[in-house]
Parts: sequence; structure tokens; C-alpha cells
Amino acid sequence: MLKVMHSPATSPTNISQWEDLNQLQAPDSLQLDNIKTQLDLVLLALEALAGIGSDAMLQAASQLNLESKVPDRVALWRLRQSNPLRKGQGGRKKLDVEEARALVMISCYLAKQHQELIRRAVALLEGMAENNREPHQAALLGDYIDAFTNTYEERMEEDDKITTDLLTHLALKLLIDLLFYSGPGGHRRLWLALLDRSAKL
Amino acid sequence: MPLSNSVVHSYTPPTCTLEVVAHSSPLSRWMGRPVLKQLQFELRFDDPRLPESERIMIRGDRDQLEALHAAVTNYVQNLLTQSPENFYTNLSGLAVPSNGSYSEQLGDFNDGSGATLALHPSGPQHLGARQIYLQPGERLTHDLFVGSLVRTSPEPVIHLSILQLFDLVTALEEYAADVVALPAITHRQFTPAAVPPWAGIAAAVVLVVGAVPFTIQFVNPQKKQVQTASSSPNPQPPQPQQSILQPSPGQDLANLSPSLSPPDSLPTPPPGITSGVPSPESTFPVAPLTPGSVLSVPSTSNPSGISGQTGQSSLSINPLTQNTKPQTKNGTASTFSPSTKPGSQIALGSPSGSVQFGQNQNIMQIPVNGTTPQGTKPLSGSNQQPQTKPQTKPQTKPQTKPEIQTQITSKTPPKLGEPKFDPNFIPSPSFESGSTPLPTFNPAPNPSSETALVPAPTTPNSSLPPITESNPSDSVTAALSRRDRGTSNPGDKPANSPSDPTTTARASESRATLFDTTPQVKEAREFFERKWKPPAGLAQNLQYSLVLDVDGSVKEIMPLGQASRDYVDRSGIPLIGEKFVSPNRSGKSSRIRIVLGSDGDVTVVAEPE
Repeated sequence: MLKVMHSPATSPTNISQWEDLNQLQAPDSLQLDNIKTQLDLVLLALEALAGIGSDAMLQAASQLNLESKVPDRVALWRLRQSNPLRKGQGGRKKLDVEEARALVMISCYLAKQHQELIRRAVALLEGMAENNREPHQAALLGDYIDAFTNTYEERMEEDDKITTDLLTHLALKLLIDLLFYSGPGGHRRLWLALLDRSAKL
Repeated sequence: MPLSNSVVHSYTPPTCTLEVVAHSSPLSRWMGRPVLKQLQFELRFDDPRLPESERIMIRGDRDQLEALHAAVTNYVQNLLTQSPENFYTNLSGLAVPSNGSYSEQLGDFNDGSGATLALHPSGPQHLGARQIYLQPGERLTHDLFVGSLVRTSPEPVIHLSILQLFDLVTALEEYAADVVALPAITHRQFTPAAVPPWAGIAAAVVLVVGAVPFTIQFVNPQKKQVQTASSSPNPQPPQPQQSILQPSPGQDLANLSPSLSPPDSLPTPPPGITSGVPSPESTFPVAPLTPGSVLSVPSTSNPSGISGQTGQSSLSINPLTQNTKPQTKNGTASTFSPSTKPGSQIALGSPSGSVQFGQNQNIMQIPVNGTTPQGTKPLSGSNQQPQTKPQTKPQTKPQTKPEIQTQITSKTPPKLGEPKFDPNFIPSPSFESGSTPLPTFNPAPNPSSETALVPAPTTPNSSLPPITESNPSDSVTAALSRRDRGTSNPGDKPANSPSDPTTTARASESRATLFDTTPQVKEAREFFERKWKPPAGLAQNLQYSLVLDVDGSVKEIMPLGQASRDYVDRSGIPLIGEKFVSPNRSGKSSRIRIVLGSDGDVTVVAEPE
């Protein structure tokens, strides 16, 4: 019997990922607004969990040959600033579809890079849920939730409807989402989720 | 797993193991990629918290794996689309698992989100018990209902943690990506019924076109020897044949699909037919002719209708069969009968029989004997060794061989300065000095036999390199068939015994120069020439198709034929992943064909990508 082992490392190339996303349905402008928000939040979750900043994101962009879309820190900031929930109007830029695709690829690339950490956090979350304990009692999760909540409140427009509980759930949901984005085909999943969610809202 | 000699693809994320076991279909060579058939999978959930005995394992076939893949990926996609509020209910374990609320959730999913979101539009309560589906469980778990899958657990539900679900979807995606990475296999593997109608046609056309040189080589001796065979008004065989062949697939394309056999249903040849004993009387009977142009080529080794014994392969194409009931059925006992359907039919058939091509008044019948195994192998199942060792009478040789070689010459492109085909063309002896000898088929030291065989070694040799350059697939076919012919020759002609050192040396040299298109081929050949010792009792040649990775290690081994599978452990082929040859300079993986002769002979050629 012949055995063929497949290492998980065999992922499609960046170019094929880009083409893959190109083949999928493109959002309309209303969806795009929503997608901006979601992408910004996914990156926010990554920032809060793994402590990564714009340096890592720019590095990811260059690894993925996406410098043309995300050339520097200012461009990245403007892209993320396109999230309509963000505070302030200055520098807001229209996010086009290509830039959205670039952010999808960067998010998934970073999620993959930090997959171990994400797994650990999700395992903790499962353990806490199983034992009926509050997630923030686990240090890793507590830090993550705090960081997420703080950064969110710092950056986003104030909204009375947004409660701490809601932000906690959002953070945990994004954590689990990140796990699935970190796997093979994660870019596809994220893109489809962005489209689907934005279509619903 | 019960399947022996099969290839196992393993996908091993941390919490589960997916093993896919499948036989490599001989169609792989037609598609140029591995085509898997008889696929079985086994999925084990490796939960460290559970004792070994309670670990859950499920099993199933290809369709079930597809269903599982679809169910899991759709479910995960829906999960990602969930709003945080829904997620919260799941997290806190409030009221989620009831079907009612789940259906509500589903309705929510489906709102405006298109079909991709529909997990189970009707809700799980409407699903049959045999259906594979998932639904949220308590507190972040997810329940996988395995339906009809064979499982070790008594319950039809597997509770998956998020990590397990993630690992499961990872394994399934990796498997799917693996399959996607092999074009034309995706559909084949997932939807066996959805073989595109043109695939069979294309295969048939390739086969028939590929067989043309061999047809001609058999037709022409008859033209020379028997007047009735030259009924075709056109004196240039290759062109008229091609023009006959080409219209058929095009015009019948639409009609063919109903009768196409899916490749997976190709019959596997029975293993017991390998040692055919052909009729010792090798004559060249001429088929009765229809009024139209008829090309009829009986088997050289098998004129008396015993093709079932000789392990021949068959392809029968009878697009319009009203008047093609084969009058030419002389040497083809197990030829598929033409269908009486008014449409067209391609029967990819048993390993016995012949290639038959008929269209209205044009009938071309190409029995494929041991000398042309390449053309028919991929369709015929796994038993591809040239089992016939024609014991032709010596006097028939000089009559047939020259013609065979001459025909090969006529196939070379005109731009290379080859003379236009001339049935009476006999190469001048001057070719001999500069040309490379035919593998294992040399101008024998015996002067008398040399005289008899003059055209055989010379003509093809001078024309072989152009063939190699002009058409790689032809070159492999020609090379291998020539090689096969070479191995079968010693039986007929004592003068060309393989034990003759000069013969072996020259044959080896010729292979080195002719077929060593890449350094890897040369290294592989040298490797097997050192290593290959035919095991006792090996009655036929072993053939393997090897995929070499960029770094020169073995990536895949595809045994061709039952014997090759049985002897794979004794073939001396390095294990998968083991270093084998030097790295590929062009940075690509390559494919080589290895023929290990039962007589100790070794042939290695590059396979076209």
C-alpha cells in the first residue's frame, strides 16, 4: 500500500488566492461599506489577540505581493479608516473591491501565522464554556477581551447601543471566526462571510 | 484497510485523521493525472480525553465523503455568517439545540443570503436519518449527524468541539484541494456520473490516432502481399485515415454521452489472462472488404480468434452501425459487437478484443496485439503487460517487420526531410552506419538474419529522434512498444538473444541516447539497471509510472497492471519521499515510465506532462 502524506503546509499560492477571490462574487457599494466594517473588526481582533500592529500587516502585504494595494502605513490607515464606524472623517477613503480583497488576504495570512495562539484561545474558551465559567476568567481570554473592547471604544464612534457584553460577544465570535480563517481556504471563507453578512444587513 | 496495493492519502490536523484510500485508475495516463477509483475514506477523531476504545471513527465511500465535505463546509460558512447575538445564545447554551430555534436561525441565514447560505433550508427535522448534517450543540459544540456512514460509536451523532470542527473542515478542505489540484479529477471523483461526454471521445480519438502508425504498418504488408487489401483509392495512408477519424467524434459528440461508460466503471481485467498462448501460425488474414474504404488489420499474433487468451485490449467505436456489422471479425473473438442503437457508442471494454472503428462504409479495425500495448492500455484496465510473445514463424518476420518500420518513418513530419511514405520504400544500407540501433533489436551478428532484417533496424532508427521531438506522447508509445517488441523478439530469433553482450550493450546505448530526454531519466535507468533483478517466477514485465518531485525524490508510484502491483515491493523502486534522482533543473516535478522486464531488461522513459 502506498502512502501519500499531505502536509498542511501545502497551501495555494498567493496568486491563486487572489484569483480565487476574483472569481467570487463582488460586493456592491452598500455591501462594501459593511465589508469595510467587518474587515476592520477582523484586523482589530487580530491586533487585540496577537498584539500585532500595522508593521506586521504591512509585512504581510509585502509577503503577499500586495504592496501595490497597501504600500505603506498611511495607506493602511486610510483603508482601515474607511470603516464607517470609525471616529472622525479625516483621511477617510473609499475602499474598492481590490483593496477589500487585499485586506482579506492579509487578515487570513496573519490568522494563519498566529494559528497556534488562536487555537489555544479557542480551546480555553471551550473549556470555560464547558465548565460554565465566564470567559474572561482565563487570562489569555481576559486580556484579549479587554484589549478588544478598549481598542474598539477608542477607535469607533460612540454608540449607546454597544454594551460591554455585546463587545465581549463580538470579540469571542471574532476569535472563533479567526480560527476558521486561519485554515486552508480561509480567504475564501472570509470573503464569502463578508459578502453574506453584508447582504443580510 | 482492506484494499491492497492502493494509495492512501492522509490528512492529519491535530484532532482528527482523514485517510482516503483509492485505487489509481489506469485512466490516469489518459488524463495525465492520477484518477482515483474505488475510493474509501476513514475519519478518526483523536480526542485525547477519551480512551482509545472510545475514539470515534467513521467510514464511507466517495459519495459519502463528498456529502460530508459539503455538509461541513456549508455549516462552517453559516457559522461564520452568524451574528454575534446568535453566537451568544450558542455560547451560553440557552435554548439553542431545539429544532424550532434552529430553524429560525436557518431562516435568518437564508434571508437574502442566497443558496450558499442554506444549510438545510427545510430544517434538520425534515432530513432523513441517512443524511449527513450538522447542527449547533450545547455550549459551543456542534453535533455531526453521520447518517448512513459506518461508525464505531453507537449513536448517530458526534459531538464536535470547535477545534474538532475546525480540524475536520481543514482535513476535508485539504483533501478537496488535493483533488482540485488534479484537474478533471474533481468531478470524476465527486460525481462519477458527470463524466463530460467529450472525455471518452477525446480518449478514443487519441487512441485511434495514436494507433494509426500501427494500423498502417499492418495494412501495408497486406497491400503488398494481398491485392484485395488495397481497396482504398488513396495511396497515402496516413492522411486518409486521419480524415476518416476526425469527423466522427465531432459529429457524434452529442449522441455519445448516453452510452459512455464512466471511467470508474471500466472493467478490470481478470488477472488470469496474462499468459496467453497465441497461435503459432502467424499469418495475415485479410478481412473481407466492404464496398467503401476498409482498413482491416487482424492481429499478427492472433489470427485465429483467440484474442481472449492474449490479453489484448479493446476499444470498439461504432458510431453508425447499420451496415457496419463487422464482416471483419475474423481475429477478434471478444470484440464488442456494434450496438444496434442508431446513435453512436463507444465501449471501453474488456482487456480482450480489438480496436474497431466503423462509420458507415468506413471500417477500420485495429486489433491491438502485444506489440502495441501503449495505445490501448489506459482504457483496458490494469493489465498492461504485453503478454503475447508471438512465436511467429521466422519466414513471416522479414515480410512484416520492414513494413512496420517503414510506416513509422512515414509518420515523421515532412519538414524533417523524411521521404513521403512509399510502401515500396526500402532504406538504403547507408542508414545503418549512422543510425542508432533499435533498442534490443540490433542488426544481428548472423549475416543471414541480418540480410533478412535489414530494413527493420535501420529505418526506424533514423526516424526515431524526429518522432521524439515532434510528438512526445507518440514517442513514449513508440519507444515502449518498440521496446516491447524488442523483448519479444528474442523468442523468435535465436540470433538476437538478449544474452548476447553486444546486443545488450547496443540496446542499452540506444536507450540511453534515444530516451534519456532528461538527466533524471538517465539516472533512473542506470539505477534500475544496477538494481533490477527479476524475481523468480515473474512471467511478465512490470510497469510503473513514477512522479518525481522537484528535489528528485519519489512523489508517487503508480503500478500499472496487477503483476506490477504484486511485485511493487520487489521492484526496487525507492519508497515515496526517498531521494531517487537529481533535482529537476526546471523546478518541476516530472513523470517517468519504468518497464522492468522479466528478462532483466530495463526501460525508463520520460512521460509527457
